[in-house]
Amino acid sequence: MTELPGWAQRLDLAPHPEGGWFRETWRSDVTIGPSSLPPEYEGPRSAGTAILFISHRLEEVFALCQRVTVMRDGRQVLSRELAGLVPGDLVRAMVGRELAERPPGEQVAPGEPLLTVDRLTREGVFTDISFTVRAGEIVALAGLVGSGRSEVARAIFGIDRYDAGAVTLRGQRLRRGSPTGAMAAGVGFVPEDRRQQGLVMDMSVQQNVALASLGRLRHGGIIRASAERAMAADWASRLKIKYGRLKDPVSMLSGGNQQKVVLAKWLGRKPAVLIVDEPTRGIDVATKAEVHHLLVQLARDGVGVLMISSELPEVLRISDRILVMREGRLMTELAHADASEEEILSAATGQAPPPQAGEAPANGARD
Amino acid sequence: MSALVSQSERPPPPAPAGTGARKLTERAFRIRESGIIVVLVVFVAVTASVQPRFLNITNIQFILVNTTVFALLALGETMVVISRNYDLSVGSVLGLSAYLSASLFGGHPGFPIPLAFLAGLGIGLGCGMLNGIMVAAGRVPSLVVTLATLYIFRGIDILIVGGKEVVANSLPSAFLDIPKATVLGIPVIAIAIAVVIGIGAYYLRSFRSGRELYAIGSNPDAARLAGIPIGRRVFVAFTASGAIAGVAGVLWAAQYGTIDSTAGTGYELQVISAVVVGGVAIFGGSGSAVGAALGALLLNTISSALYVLGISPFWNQAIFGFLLLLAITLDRFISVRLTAALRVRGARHE
Repeated sequence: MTELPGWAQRLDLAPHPEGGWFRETWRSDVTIGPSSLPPEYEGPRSAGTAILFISHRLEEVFALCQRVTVMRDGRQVLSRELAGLVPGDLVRAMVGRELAERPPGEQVAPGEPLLTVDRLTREGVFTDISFTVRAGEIVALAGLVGSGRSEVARAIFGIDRYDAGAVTLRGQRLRRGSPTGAMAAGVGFVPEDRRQQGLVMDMSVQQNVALASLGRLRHGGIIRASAERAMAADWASRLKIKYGRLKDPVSMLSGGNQQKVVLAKWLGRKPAVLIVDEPTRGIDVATKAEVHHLLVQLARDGVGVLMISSELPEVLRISDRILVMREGRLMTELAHADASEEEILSAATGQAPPPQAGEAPANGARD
Repeated sequence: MSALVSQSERPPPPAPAGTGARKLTERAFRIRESGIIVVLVVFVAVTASVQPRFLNITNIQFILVNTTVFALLALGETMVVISRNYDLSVGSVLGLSAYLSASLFGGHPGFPIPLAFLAGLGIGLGCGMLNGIMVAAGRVPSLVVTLATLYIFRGIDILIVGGKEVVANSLPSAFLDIPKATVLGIPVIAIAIAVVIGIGAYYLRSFRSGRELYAIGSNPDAARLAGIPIGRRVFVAFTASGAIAGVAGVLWAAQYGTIDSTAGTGYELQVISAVVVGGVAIFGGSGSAVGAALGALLLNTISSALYVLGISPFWNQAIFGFLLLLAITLDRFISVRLTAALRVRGARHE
């Protein structure tokens, strides 16, 4: 095989056996911005090389491509010139419907306070964090990566210890450092890293869905296979998880479907409060929209949702209140109505003029 | 919860069919146990064709009785290895329990035999709990803890036993007859141990705490986040392993009759070999108690075959080593092939 041209290597392209070049983006930590587009890319293209670029990163598509084809459920749903399209058009085509959005007015009727975090402190990590999540609310915890958002969530759920403060659920104090206690009180936790923390990759889809509910699926100490299977099949169909067989290892599923398995595991416990850490990282646009719908639906049903997200469009679209952290402290609280990307970013970075997009913590698609 | 949760009473939808693919995966998942049986059958056939005496009923009974102690130890070790831990102290626990329980008969020939088994169980339980506390509460790696207790328990054994030994004629004949009883030619003890292993395998597969041991071994972080009390589960696994080794010690005493301070020396590595040959992943998370028991049976059959064929026992160890390598290679091979096969099939469902 001949050496790949430099521009192809830089763009991570591989020659397609039928001619041309292709690339599938799958690493969520690599982003090509419009500014980093190598000029050599234009050379081969104008010399007549066709490039097929496969991606769900819309900013890359708009930066690199001239024509676009959108597929959904194995069918081609759109194929045309990119000129004249906006990202929202592609998302609609991919998802097949409008994105979840909290209609204005819906978010003003929060219920009783569920989760109360009072002056929570872990030395060197976060300081004096206080907030409340009420029934039917989606509260976003925003901030730069490293600002202590995930650490606060982990402390609330009892994975990490904290030095001072208290966490209460419906007035009942949660034991420090005990995920089992937090779960029993009605807290669910969808972690940031589903492969390392959310799933047991060797186990089947069914066993993963059932893992947090084994106590309920028992009959005389024995896990009832029929109940386990029924529970997994039920949640798989409600969340539209695409799987081959429930007994296949969960590692066979795509990232988005794996994330749905993690969600199913927690929803199966009917939590009062669900903490989700980066719920849509590394999953495709259509599944992302489904996850958003799901969170909005949960809030509508009276669950209190605490969402950590680096994706500002996601934060702005579905949350009722936005808490912004910087360097381990809670900087500000914004209501849905008067929040904007600029405001969140300036609170997160501590700079008065809103920084450029390049410094934004958001690393996902601006869909 | 309107759309999402209120419909929980509705019957689950039928899972997508795929009978051909189903057979493929199920066969592949069972291949480990059947693989051992195939190797076992081939080995027995080859040995018997060279030396027909090998299939003599006495020899088969001898192999089965000899396997019982190892198969029991393998059951306890399987529970520990599945949780991504190791119990290196089983040989020393066996030795301690064998001597102490057998010496109970010393002064009192009428000492009830069930009490001797209870004593062995209690000694093993104590040793196992000690291991479990240090691993679970002290957060010390189990390899270190049980390596230390391997020497400590053996040291206590030597302190107690000194140069003495329990000899067969100080033991009640009913006790020594335990391994000799047969039903339809099958040693009763082998049947009893098979039942115990069946119960152990069922526990690991179908009980909450058994299932959770697999989750702990496969992904400790995810297990903790799913609310699994890791410390408690690991403690129970070590306690069970110790208790089982204690009972195995009493059986060992009944089988050999003569017990000095070296009883069970080096058994820990043979047991771990049997467990790995039997398909339990050495880094936890998968494998079955039945596979581990079959692994023990295979290793014992090989020792016996080499003896019957008059081959130097040196080859015994070389062949064990070779089998271990084969088992690990096979596991790797199967998991790679299986992943590839499922991925091709999974792609059709996307």
